[in-house]
Amino acid sequence: MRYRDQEFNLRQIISIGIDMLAKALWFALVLVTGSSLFGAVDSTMPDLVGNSGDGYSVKIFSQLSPLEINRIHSWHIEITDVGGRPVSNAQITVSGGMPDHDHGLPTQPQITEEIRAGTYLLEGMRFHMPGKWQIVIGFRLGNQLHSASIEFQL
Amino acid sequence: MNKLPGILALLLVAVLAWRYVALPLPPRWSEQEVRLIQSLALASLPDLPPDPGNHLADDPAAAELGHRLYFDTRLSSNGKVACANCHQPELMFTDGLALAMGKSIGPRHTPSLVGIAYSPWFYWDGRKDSQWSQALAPLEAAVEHDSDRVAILRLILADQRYREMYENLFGPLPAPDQLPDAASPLGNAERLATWNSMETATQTAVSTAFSNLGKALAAYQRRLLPGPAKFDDYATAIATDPGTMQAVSLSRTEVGGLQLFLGKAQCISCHNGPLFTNHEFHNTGVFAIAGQLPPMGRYDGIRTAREDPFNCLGEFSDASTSECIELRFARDENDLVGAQKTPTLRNVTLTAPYMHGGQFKTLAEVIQHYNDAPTSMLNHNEAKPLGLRAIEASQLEAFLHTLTAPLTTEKKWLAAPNY
Repeated sequence: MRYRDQEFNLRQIISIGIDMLAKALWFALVLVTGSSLFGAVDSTMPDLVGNSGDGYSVKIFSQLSPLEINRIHSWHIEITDVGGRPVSNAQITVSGGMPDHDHGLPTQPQITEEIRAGTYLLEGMRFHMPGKWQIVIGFRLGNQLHSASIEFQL
Repeated sequence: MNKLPGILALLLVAVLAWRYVALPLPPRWSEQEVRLIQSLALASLPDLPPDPGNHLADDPAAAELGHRLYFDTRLSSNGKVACANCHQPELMFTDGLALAMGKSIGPRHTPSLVGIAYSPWFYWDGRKDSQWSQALAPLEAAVEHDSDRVAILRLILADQRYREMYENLFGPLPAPDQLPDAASPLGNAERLATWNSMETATQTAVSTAFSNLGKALAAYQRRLLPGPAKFDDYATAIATDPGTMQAVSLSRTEVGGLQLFLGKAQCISCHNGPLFTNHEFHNTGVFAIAGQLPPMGRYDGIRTAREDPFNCLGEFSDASTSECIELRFARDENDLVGAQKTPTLRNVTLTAPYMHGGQFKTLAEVIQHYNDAPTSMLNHNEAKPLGLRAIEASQLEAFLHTLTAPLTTEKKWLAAPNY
């Protein structure tokens, strides 16, 4: 028994060692290659959040943060379903404007890439006035159309 | 009956007071107003954005070549027109005229060049997407320099100093024996016919060298930048005590005008940021220029920019596709019919008359126009009537005169080269 216990302990120690080594390696890997492996590192807090009303959630990570006027920039748009799973292969349209001024966006931003499952690159965003803006993210999944409207103040 | 004159007099006093007596200022700016004031201050101006299409944009030797070209009337067909004729340093690079006068009278008012390197678009309708590409157009426009790219390259080849400056920057020029005297794809029938008879390789070599001259001109014009004005001193003064309205830099009338600028008059909707422009296009119901149809504005401008061989995506640009974000994601919809570019309000005291056709001689007329917000001749006027009282209009005008100051640009660039 004693011998067995010792063997068990040894195994345990080796197992913990391997586990720690793997964790250290993983940590180093993430640290060194983080941005290239996983795209730009988004902060965990999105700049804007919206819901489709039928269970989908849209998170916007602006690559110009905090948002400001008169500078063209990109967004990462993350879409997840009701279970929090990333939504891939969505056909996305982005529109918007200033409801109080009766005009749209100054540019025609477009999704140019799905940079990882459920996260899309939107290029060509710009705001040209301070005040209340409304952005509508529309997305098609198969034959279903969904949209999330987001209002914010600049 | 004998009370009537008294009542009438009282009424008259009330009406006059309503029109001409200023409301007292609140003691402090709101947090939002403080934020907006600081966003307009020159201290908030970011570094000059790079011009990815022009690899020599920040090269001092390119700026020196551009400086010489800018003041050189030999670049015109009659030897009398230079860029500096219309964009005069002493008038903040404008000309004081309603419509530009090159070789003959042009279709538009001359805008200031100060700080324009920050804009992604050039011309009132934004038909050019870079400063270097814009600089090429007047050289070949019949109402401006009325020259052509081949004639201009012949001048550069013949002038020893130009030739050396050019070749040090860009490498060898096309050999003169390959070139006709005058030719351009944008010229009159004769120049066009000669252009069409040239080999494609020669055409490309000529257009490349011509585009390089635009890049030198842009390297010079990028350096024309605004200096801090009375308003900026005020913004600095209130920065230390953010809520206060009292600072020696601005009078009570001017402060009242600033408050209107941010609020009731809604000027800041478009005239925002430290250059007092959003570099965007808006239809504000300005009536057509006498003798012209109402212009299509940005609706046509973006279409022209997309087809321009000298645009960001074209073969003469130094930019990669990914750097041409403005051009690739520009909007072109119907609401841009009749939209003109928001001009800077920096130095506005010295840049009269105003609007794309110089339709208004004074700032008071401009303010009256926005106060009325008339129906647009084409499409719809984005602006709504403001309901400014007479005293408010004059406060606003007083504030606009606090935005003028000498440029930060080194003195040697503000006159014809003498080095």
